[in-house]
Amino acid sequence: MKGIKIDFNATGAVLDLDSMVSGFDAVNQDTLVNLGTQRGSDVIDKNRGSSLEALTLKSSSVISLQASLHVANIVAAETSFYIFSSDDFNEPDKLANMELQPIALTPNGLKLNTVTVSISGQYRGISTTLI
Amino acid sequence: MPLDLTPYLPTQAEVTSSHVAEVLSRLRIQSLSLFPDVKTTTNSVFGNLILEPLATLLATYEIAAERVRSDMILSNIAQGIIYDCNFVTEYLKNYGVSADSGVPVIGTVRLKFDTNKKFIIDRGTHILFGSVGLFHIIAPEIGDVIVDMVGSSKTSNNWYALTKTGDNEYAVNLPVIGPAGVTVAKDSIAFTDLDIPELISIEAVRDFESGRMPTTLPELAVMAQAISYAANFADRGGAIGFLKRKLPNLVGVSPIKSGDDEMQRDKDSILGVNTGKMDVLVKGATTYVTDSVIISLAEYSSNDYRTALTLPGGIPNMIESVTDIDGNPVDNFYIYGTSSDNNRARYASAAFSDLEILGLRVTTQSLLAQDSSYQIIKNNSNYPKLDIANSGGIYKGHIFSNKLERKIKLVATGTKVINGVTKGVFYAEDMLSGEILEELFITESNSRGVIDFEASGIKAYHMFNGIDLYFETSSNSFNVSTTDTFQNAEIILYFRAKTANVLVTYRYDPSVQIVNTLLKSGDIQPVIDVLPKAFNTAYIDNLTINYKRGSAIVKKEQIKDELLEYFNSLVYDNTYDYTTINDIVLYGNAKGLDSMDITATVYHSLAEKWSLDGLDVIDDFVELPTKNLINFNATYDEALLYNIVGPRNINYILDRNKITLREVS
Repeated sequence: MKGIKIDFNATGAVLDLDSMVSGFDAVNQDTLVNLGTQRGSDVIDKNRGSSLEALTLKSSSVISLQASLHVANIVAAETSFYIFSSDDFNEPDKLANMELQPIALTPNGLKLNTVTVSISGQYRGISTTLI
Repeated sequence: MPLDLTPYLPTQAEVTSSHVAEVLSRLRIQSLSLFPDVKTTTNSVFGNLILEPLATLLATYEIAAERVRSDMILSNIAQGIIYDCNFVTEYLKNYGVSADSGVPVIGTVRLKFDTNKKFIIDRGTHILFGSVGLFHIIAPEIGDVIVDMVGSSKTSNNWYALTKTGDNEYAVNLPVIGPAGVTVAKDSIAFTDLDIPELISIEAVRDFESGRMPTTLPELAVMAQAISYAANFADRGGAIGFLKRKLPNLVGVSPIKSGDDEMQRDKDSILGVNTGKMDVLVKGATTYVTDSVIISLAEYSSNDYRTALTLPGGIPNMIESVTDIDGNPVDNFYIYGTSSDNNRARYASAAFSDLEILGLRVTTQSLLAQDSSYQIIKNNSNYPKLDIANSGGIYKGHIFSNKLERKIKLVATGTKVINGVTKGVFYAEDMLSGEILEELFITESNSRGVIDFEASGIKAYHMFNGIDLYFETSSNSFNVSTTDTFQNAEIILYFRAKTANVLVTYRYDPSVQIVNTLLKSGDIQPVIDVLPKAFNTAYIDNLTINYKRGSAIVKKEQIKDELLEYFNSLVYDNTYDYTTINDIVLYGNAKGLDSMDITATVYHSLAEKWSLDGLDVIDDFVELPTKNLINFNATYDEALLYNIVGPRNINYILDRNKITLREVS
């Protein structure tokens, strides 16, 4: 399965219409999109997205790196379950596991490290910063 | 031209997320089928930015398409669920209904005249009730409407006869049609542009059928549903649909077709081959119109008066009374019947239809009678050699003729030898009805000439019906030889019967006459033999309701009102049931119905005896007795002279004074 590539960088997400992603890269991309999508923002599918934004920027629950671990666990679980249930049924290499690890909490933001594992054992580890 | 769905598109709020999700799911399956390697998940670029918006758009168009379909479902339109009025208006035209096809008001008016003469009435005559109720006479055939003298003979479907309704008062009922939405109450007086000095008044016989205003599309849809059955007389549903469309307020329509027990008009074929026949029974309102008219009878023999019972209301449902004109009962009166057309309706299968001729016979000594008269005029004193002083005749009453006088012109044309006997040949003309008989013979005789009816068959019989005529020659020889300038001799015979008047009170349903008129109209005349009829009468002689008393005061008048409404509106396929009676009693504060006693007289015809051939020979008449129907649930399956009363043609008449309410506990 293949799709249009999205470049994630410091300014946000940009469509790269000249490139494609396929296989587990496409699944991994879906996972990141879901992680960054505010849960409930999709009028068609209310389960889509994660609570990451709600639990961090819109609340004061992240007061320490330790506390951010709870947030990371919750949103990782939400996203994993959503991807499990919504992925194309004929996707050969589906998501098997997802890890979301806070690595830094600064006045500028929370830095998370994301790792996804496919059912065939492929790993994708991407470090991202949430402003 | 492509279908523009814009009028059908829903608002954003009308598109539910569940519907979009369901469309999205279908799109994903379709996409995976067409492009199996393209990711369609909601978080993919294709799934999120293309499929989701597409699903939203498609969902709105699915709703629009559903609305187009809804606008073609009559039951939805009838409920007022309409999305595009322009489309629905055009669509309903497929069913023949449109805003300009409202159901007009139909009713019956009575025209009263002060003179008994023939009136020619323009079919476009204006009959105006109020300021907007402009009505026209329903004339089945092209041409004027003829309102003819009392006792005249029918000449066309546009023909009506006057009836004497009082001193110097003659009336005729005519069906009229007017615009939908106009209300006309019983006894309303109409204005007219008829320039007839003898016209006294025009009034409504009863409340007019209200018609129906085609103001809304839902009403039109209901109409379309009603006529989605072919509106013709090919089947029962079609007949009901047709009549309900023309007369929407009919209480009941009961078509009886070949194969039904009550259909007896198809039983007279020797070979058992039946043409399509249908009786259509209609009832216009819960209660019938009661009317009283003065009927003139002709003396048949001393104190025996007879006439055909021609009533302005048309087919009677019941003869209430026959009295002298002061309201005193006559000694005896009898109703006899015959069929005017034994081919269409043999014997009593003509009962309660336009084909039934009812005759009235009164035997009494108390009626004041006017003397008869007889006159003979001839244009040639030499020939025929009739002795006017000794020739003569009387006009006798005939049970199936309402003629009281005759004026017959005989024109001699020559002689003819029949079976070796030379006879004088006449053309005969009934100068009052216009009927012409081509040949009539006078036999030579040394004493009296004899009108030979047999030689000219039944037509001569009808023309001279009831006339007892004799000629006496002025010499010993009644010679018809050519030397006697027989040609063009003219004799005019005038007869007037000895007459007496009675007051007949009867009940009738004007709707039957309206349906009769409608079906005679050339553009809707059914291809099968359809005979409109009134329902057979079952007159309730006694209705005793035995009720149990409750704690409250029993509302007896209310119970009687509701019983009257219930029984008088019972026509097929509404059948009598105890539950309804019990409900009526309960609502009148009684505790419940204990039991009910009921007897009713069932009429196969209003006639008690039937003439098979239309001749006035009472001794040959066949008994046609009324029956006492004790059990309302009984099917009356006894064929009497080809007439059966059954569920499809029975109708109950209940009067308030026949109801007895008895408390039993």
